[in-house]
Amino acid sequence: MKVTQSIDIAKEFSSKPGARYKYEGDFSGQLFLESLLLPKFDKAVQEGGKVLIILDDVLGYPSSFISGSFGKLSIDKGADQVLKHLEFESKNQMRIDKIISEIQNPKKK
Amino acid sequence: MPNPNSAKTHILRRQRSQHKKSTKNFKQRRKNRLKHWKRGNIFSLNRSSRKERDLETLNLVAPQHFKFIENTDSVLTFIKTGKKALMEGLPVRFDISKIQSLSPDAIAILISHLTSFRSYGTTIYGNAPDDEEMKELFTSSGFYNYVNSHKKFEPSDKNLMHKESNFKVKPEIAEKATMLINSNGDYSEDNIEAIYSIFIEMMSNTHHHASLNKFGNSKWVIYVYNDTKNEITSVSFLDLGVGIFKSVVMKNYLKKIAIKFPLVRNIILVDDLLSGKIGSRIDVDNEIRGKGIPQIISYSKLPFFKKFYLITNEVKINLKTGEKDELRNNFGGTFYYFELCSKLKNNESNTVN
Repeated sequence: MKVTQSIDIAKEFSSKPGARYKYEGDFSGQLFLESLLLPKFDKAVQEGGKVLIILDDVLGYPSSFISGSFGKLSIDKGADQVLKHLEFESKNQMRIDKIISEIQNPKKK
Repeated sequence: MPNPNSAKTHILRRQRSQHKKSTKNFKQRRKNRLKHWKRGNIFSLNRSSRKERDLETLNLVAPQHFKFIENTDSVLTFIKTGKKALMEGLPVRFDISKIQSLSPDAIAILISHLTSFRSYGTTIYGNAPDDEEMKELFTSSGFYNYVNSHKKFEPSDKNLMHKESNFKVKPEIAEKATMLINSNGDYSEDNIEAIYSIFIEMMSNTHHHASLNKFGNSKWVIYVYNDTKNEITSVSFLDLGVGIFKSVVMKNYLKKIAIKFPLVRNIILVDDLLSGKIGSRIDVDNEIRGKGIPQIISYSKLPFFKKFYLITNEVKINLKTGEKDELRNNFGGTFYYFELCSKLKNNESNTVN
């Protein structure tokens, strides 16, 4: 499946992600989901393609941010669908693993 | 045309003022004020009311070892005694001049409580340690940015003290604190990610859980202290809310009952907390919540954190070892403290489990 959309989080969103919800403060997972991730995901699904998510040049990904964005997407769209249409790129494999783990298991144990 | 009556009133007032300034009492009081001003390390909060001037100020002497993590109960007793007096309308001097040792966590605890005591409307006084080294630690912390003092002390640019008044999660403060820590150390990208994520989770937890009544109702304080001489960075993060054990949901039904009728002490819930069995009390998105504290606990195990403590309600937990102590005093709030060694040894890894 071809990459038809891309998101460079550091350049298009923020190098300092926040917490889960918009009301908590700036650069929240919810804001990222609503403004970038979901629209591009839906478009990629329509096009039969993938969204390439570039994770580098960001200070860190708090679990609340990941949960509020990728976790929420996974709950709404289904983990398989999300993993089918998202691709991750990073020099740090642990970041990719952390996000994929959240998508696969977005609810608490 | 000028009013002759107002001119007369002005002259009379001026004469009275000049007479007052020529009295022995006035001159003595002015001399004392100048003496304190020159000493420069006295601070105060709130203006004293006429009623208070008739009351003697309670001079509350700090414990000799003014260290919150090492001497928790004594520091809490010191603060609670002051709080009680202030609530009763008695002005208090928090006297730390004669302490024998001081640590950064104690400074964070002191400033967070003193500024919260402002709401009692009673005058609060304080001073700095007499010992030069401790005085330097105290005056360069940023403490004096939050109190009134005749002399201004510039905080060191190696330190960061921030008190959040808007009850929000502040990524820019988390970034500033992380970069400051990194400037004193030799940290990898994974280390920096852990530090930054911890700050965001702590701020978020305060926003959601520090108050039982309303979200975003509690302030948080962060204090980063870079000890370049000993190559250690210490971080204190706290809120003065209700504490973790008072704000979380017990999954175990029997424990719920036991907590409600205090048959169970919070210390026996520590293992549940450390293993992530304690849930969020918030209904919305409850299924995806409750990951903040487990994330902090997981990161605390990383070797580049030399120490990592949590103090909440009547419990002090060493997050690195799981050891727990029951306190004699209740700490109404949540206090995290961690230390990082600036120089990592070669065999230390930073894998998160």
